[in-house]
Amino acid sequence: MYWISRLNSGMANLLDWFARSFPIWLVLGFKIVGVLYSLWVIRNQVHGLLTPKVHLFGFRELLRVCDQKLRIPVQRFEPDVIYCLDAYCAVWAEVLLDYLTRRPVIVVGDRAQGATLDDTAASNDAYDTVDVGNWSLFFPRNVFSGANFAQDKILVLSDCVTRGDMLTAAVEYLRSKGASSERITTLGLTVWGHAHQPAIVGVGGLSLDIVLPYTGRRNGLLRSTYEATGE
Amino acid sequence: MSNSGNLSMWSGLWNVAQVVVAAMGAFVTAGVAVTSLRSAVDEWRERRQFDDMRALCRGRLASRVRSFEPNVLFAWDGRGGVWAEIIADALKPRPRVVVGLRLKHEGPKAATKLFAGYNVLRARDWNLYIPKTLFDDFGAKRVLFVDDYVMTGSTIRAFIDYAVREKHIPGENVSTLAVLALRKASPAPMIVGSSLRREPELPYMVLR
Repeated sequence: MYWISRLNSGMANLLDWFARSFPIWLVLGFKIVGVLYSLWVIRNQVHGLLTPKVHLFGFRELLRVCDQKLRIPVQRFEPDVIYCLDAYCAVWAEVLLDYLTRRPVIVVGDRAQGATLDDTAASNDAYDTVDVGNWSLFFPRNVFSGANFAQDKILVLSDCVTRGDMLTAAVEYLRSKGASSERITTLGLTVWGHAHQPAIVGVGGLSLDIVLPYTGRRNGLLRSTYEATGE
Repeated sequence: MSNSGNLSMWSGLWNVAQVVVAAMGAFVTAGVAVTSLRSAVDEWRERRQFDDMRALCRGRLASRVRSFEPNVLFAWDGRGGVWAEIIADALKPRPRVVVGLRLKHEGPKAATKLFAGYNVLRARDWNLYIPKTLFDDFGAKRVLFVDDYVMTGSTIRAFIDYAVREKHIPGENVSTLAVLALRKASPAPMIVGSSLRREPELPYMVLR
């Protein structure tokens, strides 16, 4: 009985102490949490200022760009041929097909960065190669030899235009194959503000690095070397 | 009496009007909430689907393809081509990605121009255009055919018939891959990302 009464009184004292000091602990707790949260916010702000920002594009977001910004210009131009710099670009050509009443032919080239060119296992005999900076553009010969492009309206498509020199090189190549300058136009799905601007622009005026949904790599000029699929 | 009767009538009508307006407001709010929620869920599902397909390509499919060691990946169009590029990015040395043409037999849109540099194969619904020199100038020794979605398997059959029977490429040097395939597809792709019972809604068809 004695021990039970001691225990009861001890418990009562403890509860009493908690009841008296609880508001102090509560205030202190809030203050500590508040200070930690402020530090975390400040750390994020500083980190954001120090690291270059990157815009992550979603596939659906780019589909909306096609629907809202590219539909009308592409319908007006009504191409006979869509030339894609690589198969990544070709998926956007497939999307654009839905906006056209006459189906153009989609021709898909290839491109590789200088460093990875030696690793390309397949032969280059099937392609005409045009070097642009440290990149190489490959134009399939089976399409461009013997074909007459003089009367065709050609749309040259790139998914990511950071400088515009690849689109210019592709236009030059097509002109050398007999295509008419007036009948060639260029389209960039994502275009940097300082790039040589294509005639048709999806998302324009970019200044930050971007990540396209399928590559998962940064494209842009904020890094010292821009990476694959970045023009 | 008549005044108080009128008053109670107007008061009753006022109450009814209030209830009606409140109910309409509640309906509209609920409608907007349900629509936004549905749109958010749809967007999440579609994004999820694209991410899932990409994860398949970079993970399981890339490791299966690595053991096959292709030097050329071939796709009939850009929809297969984009997945071929993703797989090719995961391989070293990076194989070449070659894209042909695929046109419907009796589609509403006839192609405005065709080139002489292709051989034409006829599948069930499609005319398939493959570069004449795929196995010569392109140097395709070990070829992997890549498609985003295989429904019947007719395009796979057309490709294998062309490579093995017409071009006499040894069967062990030709393989086929589909990111998604219906279980009933025959022939089934040799490498499959995900086998499906029902037709999927592919991510690039969300706005159609």
